[in-house]
Amino acid sequence: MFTYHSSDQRITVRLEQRADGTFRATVGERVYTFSAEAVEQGWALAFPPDGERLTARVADDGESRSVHLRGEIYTFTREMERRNRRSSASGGGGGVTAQMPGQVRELLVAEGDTVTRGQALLILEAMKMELRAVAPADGVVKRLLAGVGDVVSRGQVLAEIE
Amino acid sequence: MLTCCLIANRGEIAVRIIRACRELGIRAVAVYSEADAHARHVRMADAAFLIGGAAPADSYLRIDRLLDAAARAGCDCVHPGYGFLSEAESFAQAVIDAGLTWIGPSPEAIRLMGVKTDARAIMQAADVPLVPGFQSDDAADEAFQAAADRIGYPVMVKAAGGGGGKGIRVVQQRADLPDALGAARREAQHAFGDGRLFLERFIERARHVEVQVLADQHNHIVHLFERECSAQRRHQKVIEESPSPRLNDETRARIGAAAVEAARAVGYVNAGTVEFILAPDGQFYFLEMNTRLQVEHPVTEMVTGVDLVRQQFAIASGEPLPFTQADLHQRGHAVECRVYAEDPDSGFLPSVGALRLFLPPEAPGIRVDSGVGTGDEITRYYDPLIAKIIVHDMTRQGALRRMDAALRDTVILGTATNLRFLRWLISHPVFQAGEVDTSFIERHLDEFRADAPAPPDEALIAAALHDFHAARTRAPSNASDSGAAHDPWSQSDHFRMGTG
Repeated sequence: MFTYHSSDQRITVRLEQRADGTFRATVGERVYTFSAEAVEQGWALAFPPDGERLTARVADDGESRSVHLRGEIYTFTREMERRNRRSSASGGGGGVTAQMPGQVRELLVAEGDTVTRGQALLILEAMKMELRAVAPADGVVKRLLAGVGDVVSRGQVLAEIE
Repeated sequence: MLTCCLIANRGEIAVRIIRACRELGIRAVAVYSEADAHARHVRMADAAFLIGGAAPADSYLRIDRLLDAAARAGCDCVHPGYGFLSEAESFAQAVIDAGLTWIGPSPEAIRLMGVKTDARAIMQAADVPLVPGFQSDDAADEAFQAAADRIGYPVMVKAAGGGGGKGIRVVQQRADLPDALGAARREAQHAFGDGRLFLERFIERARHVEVQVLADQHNHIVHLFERECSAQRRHQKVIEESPSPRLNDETRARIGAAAVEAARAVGYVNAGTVEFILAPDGQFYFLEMNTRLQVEHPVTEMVTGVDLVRQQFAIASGEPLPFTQADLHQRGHAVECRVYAEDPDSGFLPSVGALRLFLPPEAPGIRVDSGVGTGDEITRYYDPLIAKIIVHDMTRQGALRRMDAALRDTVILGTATNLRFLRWLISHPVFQAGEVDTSFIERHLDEFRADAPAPPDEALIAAALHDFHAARTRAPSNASDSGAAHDPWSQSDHFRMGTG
């Protein structure tokens, strides 16, 4: 059995292969019979086995799964058996994170400064784009965790507002 | 006769130039940064030289290292591609001073067109129509304020040394001008090392129409008709096409002639593009000239049948143009979509990472220019362009239908892409009607539902098949960590994978 998460949905998929080589899948409560053949980076599927064919391409990256089907790309995550999900301590309520990977171009505030919601704290730059990291709420800059010239990754905490 | 070319670029355009070199029997020499050691342009080239670190300033912008690589490889010419040093007068001059042939216009022409304020003055003298504006090298904010009042709002703040949409601000009202000047100046200073600004009246509902020109060393200049590039997001082109869906034959002839005059006014040689603003009333105005090959050059190649890169080499070799204006025609309709690794769901931010899978579309009338393939990395150091998809058909309607099918068949897994956004855009009734102006995307972006719908059951089933198969191939003796050991068909001989 495989379990996937999409938005806030948790969906289980149970697969079984039948004597004639076709498959039976139970997705949540729904039951399908189909045929499957491996193709380059994916599967040629037919629902039901003698029905119309469609090609699904699949890639994984850690827990992430992406599937190309009928011109649409779907991304969801797989729930692994062992529940060792990294706790994503994203800096708490007042943490300001980098929305894209890049380099810190300019700091516009200092620690201890009082800031208002939406105020620009620093300027990030990457790939011909300039992006301002802004205060999520009114408060005081408790800590600045990046300096000018620092290369930061997406999601990295740049500042804490209290 | 040119025999060995240093390609001072990376990505899809380096690949495009290497292909032209192959056809011409010219040895293609690539350069690369540490981030590009395994890039496609490096793998394809006849020789490749490491020229420094990932940051462009430490590699692709290092004139000394580029010339050193050219010398070591025994090159006799340099092609700059687009971006990087392609419009740097100093690089063109350094190439020439090193005794090499520069595949592009003269340093003088680059300089004249590079400073947008100088270009305006030259165009004025050549009777090429200009948007009302204001320029002054040492103006204080007060002078800009007074000029803006005279020109009228909305007004555009632009970088004198700029291009590519950087440093541009549209100011709707007087109170916003000082902030816009400051931001534009900082962006321009950082991007071009030149913080000088100028103002232009902002023409609402304007379209972007540009004209491709080719000029040889024997005073022959022709235009290869227009490209419509009005589908822009934040001044960056997204979709380009030729012919323009809204240009009548009379305007087409006039804008082509104006482009030729613009090129003649600076003694232009080689391939270049003259960009115009087309106002709703049919008036067109000179915007700028790009003194290099453009990203969107393939649409012109598709409709005219002229290989622009090959012509660039021929012109640089001193050959006369093999055709006259009367020999050139637009046949059918071509459209290009720029497929980017960016996430429309989070404000189109770049989405870096490995391309887990990239299967480009294949069908008659489809061309894909790309510098990456499955397994390659999209890094934060460079433009996140994955591919340019270009289609050609007899009619615009046919080309758009073909493009939709091509985008649908493009498989890119691993990074987010703008594929859904592109399909939304070309299927929009306003785009279908050929009535998109340069601010259309900004005005209508909220109609686009960025987030993909929930996966249908077939997608989940495909993932389950993938996960089962992956667990089996990775650990054939121990499939238990996938939970598959509990399945009745977990024995490999019960599971026929097919042979496809």
